[in-house]
Amino acid sequence: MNSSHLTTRAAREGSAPGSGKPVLEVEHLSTCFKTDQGVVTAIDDVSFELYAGETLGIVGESGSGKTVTSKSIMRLLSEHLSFQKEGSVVRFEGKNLVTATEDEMRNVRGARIAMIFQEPMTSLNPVFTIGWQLDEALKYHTKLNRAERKQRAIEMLELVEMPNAKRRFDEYPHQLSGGMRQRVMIAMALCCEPDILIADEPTTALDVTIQAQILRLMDELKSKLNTAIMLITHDLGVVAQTCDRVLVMYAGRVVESAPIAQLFDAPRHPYTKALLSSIPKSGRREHGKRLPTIEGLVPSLFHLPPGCRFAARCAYRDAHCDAVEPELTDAGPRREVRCHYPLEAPEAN
Amino acid sequence: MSLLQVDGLEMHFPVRGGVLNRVVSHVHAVNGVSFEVRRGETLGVVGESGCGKSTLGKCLVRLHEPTGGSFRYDGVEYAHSNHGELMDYRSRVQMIFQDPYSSLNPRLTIRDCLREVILFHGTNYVERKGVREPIGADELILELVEKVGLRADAVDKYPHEFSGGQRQRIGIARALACKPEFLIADEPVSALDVSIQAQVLNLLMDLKDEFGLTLIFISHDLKVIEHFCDRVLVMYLGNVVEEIPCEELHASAQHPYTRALLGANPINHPSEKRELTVLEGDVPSPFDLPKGCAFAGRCPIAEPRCRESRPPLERKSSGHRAACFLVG
Repeated sequence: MNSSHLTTRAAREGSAPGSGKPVLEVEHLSTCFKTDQGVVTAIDDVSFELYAGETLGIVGESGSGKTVTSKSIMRLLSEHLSFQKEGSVVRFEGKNLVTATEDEMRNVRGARIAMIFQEPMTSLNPVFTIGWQLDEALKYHTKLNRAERKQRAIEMLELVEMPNAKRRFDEYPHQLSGGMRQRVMIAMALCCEPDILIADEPTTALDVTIQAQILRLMDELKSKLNTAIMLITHDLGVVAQTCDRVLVMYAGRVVESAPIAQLFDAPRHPYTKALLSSIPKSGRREHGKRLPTIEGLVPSLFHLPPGCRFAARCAYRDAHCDAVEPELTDAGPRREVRCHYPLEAPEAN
Repeated sequence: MSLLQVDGLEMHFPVRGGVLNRVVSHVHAVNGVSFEVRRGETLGVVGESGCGKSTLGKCLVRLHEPTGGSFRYDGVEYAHSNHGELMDYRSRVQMIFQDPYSSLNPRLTIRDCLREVILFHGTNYVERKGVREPIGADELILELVEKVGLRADAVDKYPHEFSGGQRQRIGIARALACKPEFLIADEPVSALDVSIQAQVLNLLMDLKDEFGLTLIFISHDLKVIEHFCDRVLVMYLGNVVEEIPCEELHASAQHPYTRALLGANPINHPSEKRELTVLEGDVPSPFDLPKGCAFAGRCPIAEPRCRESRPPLERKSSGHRAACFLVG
C-alpha cells in the first residue's frame, strides 16, 4: 500500500482522537422542507461536535433525519425546496457553512469535507471512466499536472486495495462489482485528503464479507490520515464495530449521545434501550425466543405530538411526557439525553 | 419423515446473445442442491447476493421450473408438474416475498387481494372437530387481518396507505389465506427497519406455532437466521457448502466460508470488538463456474486439489454436513 504522501499529514496534525478543538461544530441545525402539505421540519435543533481522528456514528431508523443532517452539512439539498432555520450553524474552520456562498462551498466540498453515498451503483457517472471521475476532483482542488494526477489517482485506487488499479483506471463503473464501486467512491472521497469524511450508509447495499472489507478499510484510513469520520447507519452492529461516539436520532431529534461503550452498556434513553434489545444477538443462544419490540410506528413529521416524540411508543411515559417535550440535557461526561425520566446509569459508573 | 425432499436441484438460466440470439452460455444459479425439511421445523438459507438462495425459493414454489434434479413434497414429485397438478401444491406451499412494495397489487384493496386467494383455493371454511363448515370469505379475511396484527378497518385500504412493516404483514396474511402448511419466506424482514423487523419476526414465530407451519427462511443476515431457525443451509454460488443446526453454528461450523461469514458479521457489543474476518476478492461470476470448489478463489486455506475437483457435501455428525476437503 503506497501512502508516503498521506502519512505526512497525519504527522503534521498529530493529535490523539477526540482531543483538542473539534474540526466541525454543528449547532442548532434545523432543516425544513417545503412540501405540498406545508413546511415540515426534517431535523430539529441538531447539535454535535466532531473531532479529528474519531468516528462518530449517527443511528436511527428511516425518516429519523440522519441523511438530512449530512446533506445539510454538505449543502446538497435543493435551495428551492428546503431551508435552514434562523440560528442554524455548521462551523468549519471558523466559517458558518449554512450561510457560506456557493463558491466557498465548492472549495469545501470534496476537498475538505467529502462524502460517500449509500448507493455505489448510482453515485458514479456511468458514461465516464473511473479514472476520469477521480481526476475531476484532483483537477479542481489541486495544482498537480496531468501525469501527477493520474499517478495520484492510481495511488488512491491502490490505497483502497483495488485489484489491478492501473487497469481499473480506464474502466467504466458497470465493469466493477458493488464492493469495488464503493472503493472507488472512497478513493474519490479521500483523494484530496479531506479533514472530514461523511459516510452515509456506506455498506448497506453490500454483502457482509464486502462490508467487512470496507469497514476495515475506513478504519485503516482513519488512523493513517487522522480523518474525522461521520458514519451514518441503521446497523448497530456496524456502530459497535467502528464508532467511538454515537448520536441516536428519532423523528428529527437527537435523543441521546454517548461514547460507544456507555451507550451499549447503559443506554439512558428508552428508545436507545429498546432499539438495542430488538436486534437478534449472534451466538447468544436466544433461539426461538420472542424479540423485545417497539410497538407502533415513528410519528409522521407532519403531525408531531406536542410532548416527547417517542412518548406514544415508550414504556415509561406519563402525562408529563405527552404534554412537554424534554430538552437535551447533560447526563454525565460527554453524554446527553433527551428524556424526562432517563434510565438509571449502573452504580459502577 | 421429511416433508420436503430436494434432490440435486438445478436451475440454469440460458443467456442469449449474438446476432441470432442463440444461447451462448448459462447462469448456474442453483447447481445441484440437496436437502430435506422435516415437518414443523424452520430451515434457514443464508448466503450473499447472487448465491442462488432466492432462485432456490422460487423453484420450490415453482415460479421457475427447475432445469434439473427433483423435489418431492409429502411424497409427491412436483419439479416438473403441470399447471393443474400444481393447484393443490400451491395451496399447501406459499411464499412471502422480500419487497413489500412491489409484491402487492396497488389496484386491489386488501379485501380484494385476500378474497382472490380465498375463493381461488376455496379456503373459506373453518374446521371444527374434523368437519369443514363453510364461512363467508369476509369473515375469514377479517380473521386473517387480525391474526397478522392489523386493525379491521385496514381491509378496505389500498397498499399505498400502509408502511413497509404493515405491507409485509399483508403479504403474510395473503400467504396464509389459502391455509398452507409450508411457507417459504424470502428475506421477509430485510427491507424493514430494525424495530419493525423484530415485530415481523415475532409475528412469524407466533403464526408458526399457531398453525403448525413448516418454514424455509431465506436471509442474508446470519443473526436473524440464528435467532429464528433450527437448521441453516449456507449457500455459495449455487451450492450448499454447509448444513448445520443453528445451535452448533458458532462452536462447530467447519467450512471456511461459514467461518468467514461468522467472522464478518458485525458484533453485538463494542466490548467484543475484534478484527473482522476479511475475505479477499468478490464472488466469482456464475457464468463460468470454476471446475473445483466454487469458494477456492477466496479461501484462506485452499490447496491445489480444491481447484481440481469439487468437494462433496459430506456428513460430519448428526444433522451437520460440509463440503470441504480440508476440514473435519
